[in-house]
Amino acid sequence: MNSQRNGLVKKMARIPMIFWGILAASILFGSLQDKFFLWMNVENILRNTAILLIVSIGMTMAILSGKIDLSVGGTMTFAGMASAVFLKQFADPAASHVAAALLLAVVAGAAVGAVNGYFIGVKKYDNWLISFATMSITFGLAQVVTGGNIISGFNKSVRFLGDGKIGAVSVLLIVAAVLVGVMWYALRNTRFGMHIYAVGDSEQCAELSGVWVGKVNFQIYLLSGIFAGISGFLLLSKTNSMGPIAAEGYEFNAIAATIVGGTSFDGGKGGLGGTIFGALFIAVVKNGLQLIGFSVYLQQTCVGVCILAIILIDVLGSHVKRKKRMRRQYKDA
Amino acid sequence: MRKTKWKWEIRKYSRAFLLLALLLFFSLATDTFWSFDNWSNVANIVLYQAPVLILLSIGMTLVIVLKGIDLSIGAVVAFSSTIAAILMKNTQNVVLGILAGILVGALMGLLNGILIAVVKIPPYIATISVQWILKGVTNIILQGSSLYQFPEGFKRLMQSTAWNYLLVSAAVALAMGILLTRTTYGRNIYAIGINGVAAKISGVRTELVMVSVYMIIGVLGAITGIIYMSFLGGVDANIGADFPIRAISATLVGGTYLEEGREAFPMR
Amino acid sequence: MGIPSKEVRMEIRHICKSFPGVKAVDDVSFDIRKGEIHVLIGENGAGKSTLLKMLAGIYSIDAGEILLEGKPYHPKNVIDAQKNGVAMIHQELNMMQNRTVAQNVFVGREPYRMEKLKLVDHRRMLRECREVLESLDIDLQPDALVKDLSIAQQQMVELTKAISMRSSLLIMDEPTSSLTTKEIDNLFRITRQLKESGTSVLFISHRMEEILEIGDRVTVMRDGCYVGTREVEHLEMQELITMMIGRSLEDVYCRNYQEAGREALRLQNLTGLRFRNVSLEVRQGEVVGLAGLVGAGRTEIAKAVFGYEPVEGGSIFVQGEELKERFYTPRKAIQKSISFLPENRKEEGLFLDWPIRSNITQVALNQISKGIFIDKKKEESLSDSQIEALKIITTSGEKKVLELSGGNQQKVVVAKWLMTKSRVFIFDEPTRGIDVGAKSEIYEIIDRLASEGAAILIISSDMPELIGLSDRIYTMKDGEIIGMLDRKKKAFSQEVILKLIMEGGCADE
Repeated sequence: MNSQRNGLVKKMARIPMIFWGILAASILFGSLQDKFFLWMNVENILRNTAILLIVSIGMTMAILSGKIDLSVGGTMTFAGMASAVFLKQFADPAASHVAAALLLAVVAGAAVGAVNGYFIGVKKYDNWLISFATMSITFGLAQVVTGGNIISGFNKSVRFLGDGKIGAVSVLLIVAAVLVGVMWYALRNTRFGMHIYAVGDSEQCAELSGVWVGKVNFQIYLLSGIFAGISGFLLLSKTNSMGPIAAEGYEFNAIAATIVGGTSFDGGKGGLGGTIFGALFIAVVKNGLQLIGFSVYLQQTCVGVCILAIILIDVLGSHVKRKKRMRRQYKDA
Repeated sequence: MRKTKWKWEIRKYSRAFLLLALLLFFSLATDTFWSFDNWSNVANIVLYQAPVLILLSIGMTLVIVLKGIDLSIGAVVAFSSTIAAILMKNTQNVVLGILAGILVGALMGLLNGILIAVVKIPPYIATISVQWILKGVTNIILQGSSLYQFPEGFKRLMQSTAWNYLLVSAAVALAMGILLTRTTYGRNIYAIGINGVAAKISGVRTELVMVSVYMIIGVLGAITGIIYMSFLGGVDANIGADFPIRAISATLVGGTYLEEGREAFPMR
Repeated sequence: MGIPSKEVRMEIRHICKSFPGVKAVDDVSFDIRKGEIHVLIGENGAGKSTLLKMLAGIYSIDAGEILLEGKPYHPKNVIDAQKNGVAMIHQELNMMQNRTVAQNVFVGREPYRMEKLKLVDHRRMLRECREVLESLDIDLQPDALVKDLSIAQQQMVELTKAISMRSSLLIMDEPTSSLTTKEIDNLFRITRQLKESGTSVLFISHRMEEILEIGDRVTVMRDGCYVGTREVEHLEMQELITMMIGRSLEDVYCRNYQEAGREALRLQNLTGLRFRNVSLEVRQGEVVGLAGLVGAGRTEIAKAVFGYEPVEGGSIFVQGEELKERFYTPRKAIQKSISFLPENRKEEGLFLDWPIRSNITQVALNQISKGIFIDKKKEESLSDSQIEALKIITTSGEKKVLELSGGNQQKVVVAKWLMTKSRVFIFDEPTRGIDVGAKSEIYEIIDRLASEGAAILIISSDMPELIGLSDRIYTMKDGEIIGMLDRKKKAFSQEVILKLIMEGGCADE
């Protein structure tokens, strides 16, 4: 029973670090700018977190399995654009139209995910190269679909999911909570989830033990595409517009949220629980910088530097851990 | 590995096929396709785009042979030319500006190289981060606007016909090709790409070679930036947004993903 | 020990398997009975591992057939084999380090809580895992993380995994090579228990004592061929040795011993991540062996001497001068006239997709270049002369190394290092996985190098090889040097060395 307790203690020791990070950042920004702690602002942060979080679900699954999905930003844009173009056909879209648009986004995302999944899971091409290629293609397609223009001005039904409220709570938060909750549970309690961890830990071992690795990889990318599609739609819904570069940088932020959240590039370690905090952290930093008055460009640079620093820490940390693990324990020492 | 080869082989031919199909389509669809005007236009585009693409693809080829990648090259182009432009306008010293730009390119390459070879961050992540940060910095410097009207000296210096540029870049390409295939340095690059561990054990200074390769593409990026500056007559933060993708495609279509990197020059 | 039934579980008939350039398994036939412990023995490269992998579904069978419980058995992959009750435990353990014992045992077959919903039942997993662990009397917690376990314990987890699959035939590839005596006793206890319950066990071993202790029958292989099967009860040690070797030891290792010269390589209290206080020396003209179990730290010492592993304490002296480099790298080691032939030639020693010529010249690029340009003609001539000198069998020097047999690949590695004209050579498992002919050629090279005054350090798990080649042998256990044996003072004995590397103790006799 000791090791179980140790494992729990270790896990608890991990989360607080990000927790402290969020706390520290919040305090920093709060002290610099009173507006930070206003409920309206906090709600804004949470809603930004929500969309990033949904996209990051797929990214986390990919990184857990030792791979990556660089195409999520592109898929978001592509799916979002598809929905936007569809919805623009109607002057006043009804709920059924909105539902159809959401479905369209999901299908678009699934299509991209299937392409990724096929080439990476089945044909076993390099996941970095393929998802990068898909990223380029989807961003390009989004441009083509709209001729480079931004589509905006949607009615209330469209904006419901991203901007509406049920009682006092944002619908968006509910959607995010449900999706993340379901996936979190699935990762721990389904064979699929267990196999993602197995493949991430040792693909060879998983293969030799009967795990159908190609299928697992395919499903990961398929799901990632679907979630990216959903986020694309939600982004449209929340910001009331969709442009060819609307989701630019989301893949980068999704990677950051995952890594900050404790999932390691090595694979097999971490999980969605951490990613929640990771996404929150990034949203807090972005919001804080904006409130302080940093220009958009400065924000972008700062976030980029932060993310690079976090990745540095993660990579250097894993070097240190590896060294520690390899060090022999002598019986008399 | 063999599977990947097939994929790129097919891609190579399918692009040529696509080009043929497009040619056919357009000649049938419009009657001005084969006119002189149209072709001189195309020629212009090709002429001006080509040197840029060639220089970048050459650098990218080196990096890809190393089994790495450089997604930041577009941002490096923008950033280095911005620095060069600012210096040129402020000091009216064209040479200084150009040298500064090249130095910046080299430094960015050094940064990438260190992140990838020493810290061992995966190349995609390292270069995406650098790209992101450089884009931000360039934007901060330019505050969203663009710079133009460079000193007369610059215009005079860069005043050559497009053909000259093409020749120069072809010469550089040739030089790089020879570097890759006929020198010990090039051999070491291939070695690292094929088997980094075996290369290190065989005495190759892995970190040095990797960092130098990223610096090369950084410098090539800076040079491209300067050339691009003269073409456009101005500098803004969004230059080179699609450069990495185009350079990578050009390299891969040229067959480099494997060791037999004979760089072809598909002029897209 | 119960008497095994005479009923046959698996019949192996005339199976063959070839890889490019070498016939690994050549027309092997024998059978395995129900509830018996069957040992497979033979020299390195005899084809035992390959045979086992064919039974386990890892390698395909080129020719021949297998009958399992009377029915044709042709496993398409590992899962197929497992479904038929055949499970294998590899020499290099196949564990997921960051998962728990239970998760490793049930990977791929995690039990469901409610069939319809397909939700994993963690509690049942832990419970069933504990049941199997207890039935085998293994002292491990199902929720322990594998990375916190020792090699022996991880092996126990592998066993648990195989047994929980209710295998009828359990195959083990050299299970005892990294274990202490106590751990081997535990392993054998479990093996006997399995036998009682009717499971057949097939395992590879190199050690006579083990065969005698636990085996019911033993099958000998040599050079890919089947030599014979004997009942252990009626076994004569001499007969077994003759079957295994087929020739006397002296013929194979023809060393011309000579007086050692000055010190060429000396380690003093060298400490690294996986070894500490290592002191040893190799003199010019000497061949010094380094014996130890897998994981004792031998390769790490070699890599540290070569600049490929970190050194945290102590010093290295090359040709009498202390090495004072701050950032010591293989390149600097090569400049100091040291060569290192790694044990994984495919991953660390060769550029598989490259032609032989490029492989041979990679370390000595300065010899084939004028300035920075490579002289292709010189590359050709130098590499061709190496190919000839080492008798590398190939139609052309341009052929990819990938296509050569193991023995020829190793010769390419040797050729590569010979080009540097080093004075100190470190060979790490130089004859692993290569055929007998190539082996003796490599022994000749080692002998020649020694007579030319080079200092040679050999790391090998092949005891006869070590004994046949070395002037002196250092023994290692768990990261420390525990003794040194000198051929001149007392003849090497395999039993003594084995005892030392497995149990420790002192060896100054």
